[in-house]
Amino acid sequence: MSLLPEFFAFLGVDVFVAMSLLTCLLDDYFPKTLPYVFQAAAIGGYVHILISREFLTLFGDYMRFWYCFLYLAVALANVIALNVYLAAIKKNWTLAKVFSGTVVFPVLLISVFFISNYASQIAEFYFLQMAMLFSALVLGLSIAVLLSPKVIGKYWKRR
Amino acid sequence: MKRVFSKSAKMLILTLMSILVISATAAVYYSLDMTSTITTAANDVYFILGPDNATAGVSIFNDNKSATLTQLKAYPNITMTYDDPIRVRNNHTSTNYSVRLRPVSRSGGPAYFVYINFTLQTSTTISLNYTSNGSTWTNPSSTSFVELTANTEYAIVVQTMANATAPSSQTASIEIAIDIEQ
Repeated sequence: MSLLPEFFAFLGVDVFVAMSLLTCLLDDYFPKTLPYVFQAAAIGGYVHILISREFLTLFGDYMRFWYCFLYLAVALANVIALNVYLAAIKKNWTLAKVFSGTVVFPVLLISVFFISNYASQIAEFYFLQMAMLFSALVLGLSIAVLLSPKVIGKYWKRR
Repeated sequence: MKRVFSKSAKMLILTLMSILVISATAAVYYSLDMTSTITTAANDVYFILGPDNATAGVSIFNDNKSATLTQLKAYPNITMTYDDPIRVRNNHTSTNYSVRLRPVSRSGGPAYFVYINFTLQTSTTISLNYTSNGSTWTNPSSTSFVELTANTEYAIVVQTMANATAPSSQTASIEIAIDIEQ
């Protein structure tokens, strides 16, 4: 089944809802009103899809993709902003690192996967191959560093 | 400052709201996914007159989608062949279409006819052959699909034969259809 452009708005709604629950859970680190702001943004996404459906024949595929993609981009920007807030404002580096590894990176990866999937419907797009190549490179470097950890130290000393 | 709601109560409210929002959004997305847009288009396959159209009394109407052959004759014990009264044309410049012949209806007594045969002259010919044993008609079943090459036309050959004792002015009426597979 091929993806519709509105899928990105749907994904954006999911991101906002997840952020709402997460900021409520971590309410000691974030402003108290933030979960409700994210809930309101998620409801805004619902209205967004509803309007898109009602004016389906009026808006072309191109326009539908861009306004849904914009909504997802705003949701992703909020996720990154939360990470920056933890790191830069709260100076809580440990939590910021955990947050980037468990929330920001997976959310970005999932979004890129679906965007590449949608793009491949229109043109050839080798996201999976590129991701595998990147993973192989990271794995190779990690094994090299694991086997001889002094290499990095030597490299930095030389510089 | 005193907390009005406990954290767990806030989580519960937000979770319920989240479930509601996601369910509603998923329902709208699903209904969107089921929306189909159908556009009207001109037919690429249609009838055109063949060189023998006057002999067979061919009339084409309904934007070349329907035709009648009203002057076909069947002679006693003689096979009458109309080589090219009407043609089926695939007018598309690049797309080939698959078509078949399908019997629709038939009327008229079987006592005076031996057979009435319609053949589409594609590379693999397909035929609808109505035969009579003098008391009942044998109706053919739909043919298999054959390909119409783009920008090409194919003749429909009609062959008839009447019973040896058939008097003149006896009529049979046969309706056939051409199904197009896309």
